Amino acid sequence: MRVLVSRSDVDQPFTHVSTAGTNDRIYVGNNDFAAGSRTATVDVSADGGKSWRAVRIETRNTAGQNGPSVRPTAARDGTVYAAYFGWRSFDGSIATSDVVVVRDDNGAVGPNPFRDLADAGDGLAGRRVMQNASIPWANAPTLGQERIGSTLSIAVDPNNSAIVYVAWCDRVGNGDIYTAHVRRSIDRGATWSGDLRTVTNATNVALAVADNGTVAFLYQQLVGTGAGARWLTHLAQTRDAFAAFQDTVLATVPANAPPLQFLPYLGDYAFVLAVGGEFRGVFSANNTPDNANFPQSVTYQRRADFGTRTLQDTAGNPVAVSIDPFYFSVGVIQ
Amino acid sequence: MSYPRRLASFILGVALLAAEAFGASTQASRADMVKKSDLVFVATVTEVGKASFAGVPASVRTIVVRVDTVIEKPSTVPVATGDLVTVRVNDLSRYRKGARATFYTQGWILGQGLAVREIGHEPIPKPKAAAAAVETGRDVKKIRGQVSDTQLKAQIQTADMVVAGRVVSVQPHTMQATGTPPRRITEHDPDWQEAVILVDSTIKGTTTNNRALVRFPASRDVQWFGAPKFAVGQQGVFILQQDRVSGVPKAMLSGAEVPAYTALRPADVLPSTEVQRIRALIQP
Repeated sequence: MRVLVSRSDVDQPFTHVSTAGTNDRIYVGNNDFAAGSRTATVDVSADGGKSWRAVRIETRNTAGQNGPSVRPTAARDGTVYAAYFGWRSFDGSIATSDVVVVRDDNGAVGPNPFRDLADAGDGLAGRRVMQNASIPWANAPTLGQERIGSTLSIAVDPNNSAIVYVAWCDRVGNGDIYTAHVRRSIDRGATWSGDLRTVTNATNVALAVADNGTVAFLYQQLVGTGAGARWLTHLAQTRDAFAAFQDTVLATVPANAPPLQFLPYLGDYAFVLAVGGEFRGVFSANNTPDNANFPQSVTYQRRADFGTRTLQDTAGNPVAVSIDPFYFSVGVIQ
Repeated sequence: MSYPRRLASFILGVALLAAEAFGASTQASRADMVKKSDLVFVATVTEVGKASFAGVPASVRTIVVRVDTVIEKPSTVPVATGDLVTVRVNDLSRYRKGARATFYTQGWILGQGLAVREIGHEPIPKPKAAAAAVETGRDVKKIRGQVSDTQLKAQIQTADMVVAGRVVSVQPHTMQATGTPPRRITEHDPDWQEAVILVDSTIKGTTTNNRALVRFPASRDVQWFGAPKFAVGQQGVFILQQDRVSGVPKAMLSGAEVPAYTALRPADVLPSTEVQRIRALIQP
């Protein structure tokens, strides 16, 4: 593997790649702490990584920085969107934040990238999909054994760049710890729906849109309490903006085992993308070899005894349960 | 055979001989191999040019061996006598089915089986197999002990202070009083705390009023969870570096500005019983 570029003082790089002619266009969303107080950045390369340009996408004052998550996505016609958290104030445990979407109509390779979507309220680049969201910042076990603070995803219809979805989590204040929201725009980000889907006590949201317009919403939800608490990993698919949706539970696992060793417990993200007629992705979960934990079935690439529900080493000795990454593939609904 | 083919064969033959010679001259000493290895075992070759499970990328440089004796392995790696292991070797031509050797390796793939990369090997003549495993095991242990002393000595040599003592207080950091860089909110925030050690014995460096202030990350984030955490009452030997990590090299202690130190590696905090060993290591 060859390193294309290195920079220090950068948090949470998140990559999206598209092609233009024979070149890869690479977009790396990141929170760049070398950027003063407007830290939300997308690093853009139009030549497959040979050269890079750091584009600052925050146009408003912040609480000293933006939230960690900066997420780019691109449609086939060259429209590029990015979503980020515009932290306007921070009291040490709650960030009061906008959820902002920026857009570039020309692959972000022009002289003023990500300035093509203005907010009607203040005229500045970057449409505020949500204003003054309360986002708890807890770098400690808070949602079960997991930390919370920054989960965000954006996905565009690959064949119709006017349609774009955003998902994020915040604290609504109805007794929830962390609530996931999904919203949609059908006019290139100018206006947005209200919540099409809300899920209480969820995290690690991820969105994807397939070629036929089907939307996938991946998330992990904590249900139950005490010894009965469980993490459920859902993949919800819809063709009508969640008026109806097909819910596929990929995993339902104990939330209290294994005990926490370090943070993140499951992971700070999950991911899904569309490849032809499939949604493919990854999530992390308790790896107890129990078929009941994986309603869609599962194949382990490590030695495990599903009869005794025991992980094993190559000599057949028991191995303690831990957190493993799981890859999935689910057919796109038609 | 036509002339070009004879020439090609000749060149190939010379290349193999050169590889053999090159391989022989570069086989490292046992100590060098031990230092670079994390898995050492005696095994018998069962297949050449094959792999023992599907997860190994196809290669002409893999052999399958059956483990006869595990000499040394990390506790987290499951391997035992009788297991089949895939070894990605340096030179496939050195191996024949049935040959036995001590393998010095590094972990490569752990999935449905175990695959390792060869650092080096020592062929074992058949009659000497059992004795070889015992003798090698003793030698590896001795070399590890030497490595451990060597590493500790190097650690002490690069330390700014080494003290034995007891932690008497732990508090949030005092960086604001001595100049704080802008605090960035990130999952990897170390959440610096400051521990004060009451020093019983200074092995290296100079303390202030028999105290040393150690800044440590209280964070359980994956970047910091392995760094030693300090608690009141904790005793030990502390191998300290001046704080070049937090960006604020000084701290406040009882109203005075003092140097801040860090001990970020697990090996930087040792039991009190190691005092004599450490003193012996640094004697000229």
